[in-house]
Amino acid sequence: MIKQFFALLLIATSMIPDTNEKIIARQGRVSFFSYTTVENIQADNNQVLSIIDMEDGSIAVSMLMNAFVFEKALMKGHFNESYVESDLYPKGVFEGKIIDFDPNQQGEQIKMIEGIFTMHGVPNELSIKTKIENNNGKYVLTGTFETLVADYDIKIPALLSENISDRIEVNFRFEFQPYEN
Amino acid sequence: MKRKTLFIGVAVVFSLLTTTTLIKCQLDPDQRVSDASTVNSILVDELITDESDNSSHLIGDVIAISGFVEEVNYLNNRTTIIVKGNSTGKKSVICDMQKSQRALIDSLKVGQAITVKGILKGFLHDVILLNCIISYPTNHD
Repeated sequence: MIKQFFALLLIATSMIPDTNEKIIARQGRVSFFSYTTVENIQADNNQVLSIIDMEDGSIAVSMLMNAFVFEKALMKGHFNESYVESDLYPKGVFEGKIIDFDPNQQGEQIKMIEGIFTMHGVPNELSIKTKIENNNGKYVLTGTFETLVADYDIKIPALLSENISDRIEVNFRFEFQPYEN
Repeated sequence: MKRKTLFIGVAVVFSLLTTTTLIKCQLDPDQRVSDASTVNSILVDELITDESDNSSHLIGDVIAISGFVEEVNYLNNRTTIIVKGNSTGKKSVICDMQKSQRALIDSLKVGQAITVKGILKGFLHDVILLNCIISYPTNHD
């Protein structure tokens, strides 16, 4: 009976993630969309890095701006050379915290992530509603938010202003695994 | 006369540079990788150790990296080969593969020696290569 109790206890504790651990997503996906009556533009980056500290819920995201893939090469050229100037500002970086994050809660939880996203050298405060799925310690974060091009000091030439929306929709999905330093 | 020649020279160089840049921008990146015959060949260990110090000038260039298959995955509906070196710890090279490579990738085994050609995008936790093709798969471990 005692053996069975300890066996059950061992199984139960093994399902609870170690909150001292960090988890990492090396191939997170971030996509952005610009919808206008003239044209729709979409770009995807499938190699976005994210690390979460399970102890305090802090989260960091880093992406290479030149790793966004566009449908048309010309769009990619404009994006990197004229708008985000990826030679000068190669990375987009978010640093923030998942508010009231409970790493032990199984299943789905909806939380707010608050922090600073720096792109094109311009820091901007963001508050993002995020779905966190925990399936026996395998965490998946997904969400959608909108941001303004003007918030990052990105200037769209008047000639192209009808092609690019002022408001950009951003989607993300990160699958995390344990991170060993 | 001398001034006129100089002006023409500058104009020719400028237009050549502009044309080259435009062609480079417009060229399909998959095609660019496939067509690149002479590229810098780097071992994964060297690339990860150098990181941004000695290799940052190669960002945007087609390079070939040699190492061992750590993992093949299909996350985000992409085909990705993660290539590790002999002694690079937890860091690897993430190679986002061209669609045409699917048949070759299905036959890869973890630990297999491999050379992958792609466009170097930069360094995060890992090194990121896009538009990749398998340049030289080998059967020995």
